[in-house]
Amino acid sequence: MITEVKATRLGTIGKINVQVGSKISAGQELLTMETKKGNAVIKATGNGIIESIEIEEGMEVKVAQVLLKVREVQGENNVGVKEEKIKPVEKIQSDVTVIGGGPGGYVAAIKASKMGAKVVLVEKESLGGTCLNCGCIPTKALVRSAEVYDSIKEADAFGIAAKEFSVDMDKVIGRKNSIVSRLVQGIEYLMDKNSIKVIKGNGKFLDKDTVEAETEDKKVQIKSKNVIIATGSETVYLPITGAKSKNVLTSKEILDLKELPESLAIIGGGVIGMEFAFIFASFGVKVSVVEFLDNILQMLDQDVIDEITAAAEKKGITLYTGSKVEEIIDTEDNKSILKFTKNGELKYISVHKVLMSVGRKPYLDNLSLENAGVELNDNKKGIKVNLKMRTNVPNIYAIGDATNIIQLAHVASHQGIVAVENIMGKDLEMDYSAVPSAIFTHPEIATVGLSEKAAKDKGLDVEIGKFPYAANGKALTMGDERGFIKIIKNKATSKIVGASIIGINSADLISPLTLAIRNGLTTEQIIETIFAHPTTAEVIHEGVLSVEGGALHFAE
Amino acid sequence: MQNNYILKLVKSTSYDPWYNLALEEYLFNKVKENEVIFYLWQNDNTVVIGRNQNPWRECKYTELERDGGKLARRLSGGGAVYHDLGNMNFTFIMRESLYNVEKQLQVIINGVKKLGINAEFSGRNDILVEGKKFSGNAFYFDEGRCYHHGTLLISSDMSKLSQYLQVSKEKMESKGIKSVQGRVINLREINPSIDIKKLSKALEISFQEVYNNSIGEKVIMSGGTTEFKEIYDKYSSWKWRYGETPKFQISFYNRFSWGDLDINLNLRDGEVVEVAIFSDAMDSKMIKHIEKSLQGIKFEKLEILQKLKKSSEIYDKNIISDMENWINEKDI
Repeated sequence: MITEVKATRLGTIGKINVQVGSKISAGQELLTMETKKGNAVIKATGNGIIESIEIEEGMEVKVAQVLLKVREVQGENNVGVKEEKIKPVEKIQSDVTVIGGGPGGYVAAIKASKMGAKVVLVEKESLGGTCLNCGCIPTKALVRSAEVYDSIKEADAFGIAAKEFSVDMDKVIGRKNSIVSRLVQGIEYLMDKNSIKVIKGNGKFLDKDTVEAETEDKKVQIKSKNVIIATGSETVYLPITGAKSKNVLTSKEILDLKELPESLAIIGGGVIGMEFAFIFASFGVKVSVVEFLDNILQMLDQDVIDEITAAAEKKGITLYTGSKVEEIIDTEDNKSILKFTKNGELKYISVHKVLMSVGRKPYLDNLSLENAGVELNDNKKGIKVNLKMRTNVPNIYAIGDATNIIQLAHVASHQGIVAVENIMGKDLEMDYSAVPSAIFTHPEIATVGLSEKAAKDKGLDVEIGKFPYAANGKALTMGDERGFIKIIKNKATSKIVGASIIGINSADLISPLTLAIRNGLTTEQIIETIFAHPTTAEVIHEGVLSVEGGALHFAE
Repeated sequence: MQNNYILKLVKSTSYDPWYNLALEEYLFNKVKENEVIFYLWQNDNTVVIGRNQNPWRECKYTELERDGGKLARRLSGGGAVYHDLGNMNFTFIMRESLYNVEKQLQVIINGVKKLGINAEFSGRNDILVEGKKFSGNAFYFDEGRCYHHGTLLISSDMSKLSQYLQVSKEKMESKGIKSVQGRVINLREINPSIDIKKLSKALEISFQEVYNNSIGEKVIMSGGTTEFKEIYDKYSSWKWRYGETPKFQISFYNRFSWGDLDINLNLRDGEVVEVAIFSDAMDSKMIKHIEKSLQGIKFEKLEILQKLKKSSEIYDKNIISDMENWINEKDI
């Protein structure tokens, strides 16, 4: 049997004392690892032979990363079957126990601690959750590498001569890893500073007041006045043959891809799929996106979809929309064939890697919700909560992806704060009317509040103003004039109720509009505000002006 | 608060780093449940490197050894430090359940406060006064036991500190942990009346205050190693001090009157595992011979010179002697 020796903390590999083929015996030092908490020795748990070494001295590793593989050898006097060790039980108490240390959970923990509660946080992997370890942050590190590469490719247009440059994926991933580890350490530090007890292990309910966290060497039973469930979500696989075949990656694994595949098929043209499509297309990979719906990024307004579709096609990304994936077939030459139907017709593409990005579902495994009597949503996906983020059990709250309301890190954080405020005796409800979201394609897309589509579905009487980036001086100097801003005004109140931006810096430009919508600013109030020149933020001013009779710097 | 610890104070009167580190590991191995050991010790003229460091890269060990100093490798991670009798070290040793870095740091911070020093923890494993570091801390974990140790600069010789802790100028690619330089300060610069004795006393009191108990056992150790001779042998061995270095590569290049010479060595466990020599002057037979002779040797100047000397029995004496002189001047 082969066993994997995994890292239990984030750290840097120190001296490795074995080589492939080394015979090892239980208790022998295999390697040392320097973590934020100090130097730790990793020892063999049984007798065996080193099958492979997956790391190098000086390398940074993440929690649960495989370090070594050991082929276990059952010596004559060595009993092969390991005794199930009965772990000692430690009992502690808390005011608030948070299960899950992602952007929902860890923010809730800090907030609760700041408000004077005694807080325990249970996390089985790395602090920071999906967002920080294998979501928002790492993808943005890759987006940035892709941008730098694109910039060099276009350097000539800027009067800069660049020769001989190429993508070193090993370094791209290394840079990403060091950003992630810095941020994770930052959160560890915040936990420390806020006196939050972090327990590394799986958390589950024993009853509605008790959470049990099982660590490597013990079980900790936490008698908790309140519990916040923040367990996040996991990748959904399509229920098709070959969905987990060898070339299929999820957004988690693709972030550690140290060699670029020649070609990549992405199943699902949503936010995750399209961000990766643009990144890998920039790196020179032949990318195809297969989307079930009629458009990629279907939740956006049609004009935004048209713009990003054109940008994707120009980038060389092949889009198969309205296409249903039927099967993924391994080929003899290590590739995969993607079989799908479009307009009732069977089609096949052959690719080196496949990214499965059809969505994420709440991760509620091993949580024993039934022991606490916590109810799920009617569709049985996600935990049912009210606007105070409270479940049907009065002292148990749920936030973030686990509730399946909106899968965004910043929504989870905000829900965490609302949950804590309610726990601490305040009366606060979530308001989802001004939730910003950003998509880091190229150009970027950002939206807040209502889309034009949603406003019309609601039967709201709205006025629309649009302004193109091509009329913005700063955008021209930066060499990217694609895109536009669209402002949606409620005619009855003159207040802004929604905005969509596609174009350079749009993710950063959505915040002032979020402030405006959240605080009920009218178009008049924004028009009277001075915007700095020359900045891309001027598109906001002009967009609002165009709602009210016409932009200054644009005429149709 | 919980108050059922047994506090144990251990002091070493030896200034030998290998002895003191061996004692530290011995105490660590033997620490009992509910016991908190506070161990105070001093090394004379010593560079202590972190568990995963490369002495060839991190310090001027040849100068140190020439001046009668000692190089030591500790179990904890982090960077290289210089110790002399103007420096005192402390170690907290306990089981993981009692381990609490903040509390341990409080002992040090409260202790120096008694001597008029307003110190703070940097969050980067250093304790600072006026923004400068006087104490570097490091940590080690194994089998549910932990230690936290650190230095305390009182009146160390700063010129020696910076002399020995210079990074090697040789061309090296090292996988080990690299030291980070920080601005350091002696506590005596803040309060001229501080000495080791006063500090030691203040820490002893602070230790009891923070743990809210009195010291139950005091031990003075003065250098006998019968109980932990094996551990002492480890700390004093070449294998531990040099051989535990993570993989590294080093290259030497020089242009001699007779031509170019480029020597590249790959080192593992402090031993030469691969040699590649390039030269436009030597014939390939000679290159092969020297490469072969260096294969597998300990990476020590003396060993290299001996191997070269042997080659001079067969090959051009002038070339070999030029090489010897050149290697002799190298910072290794």
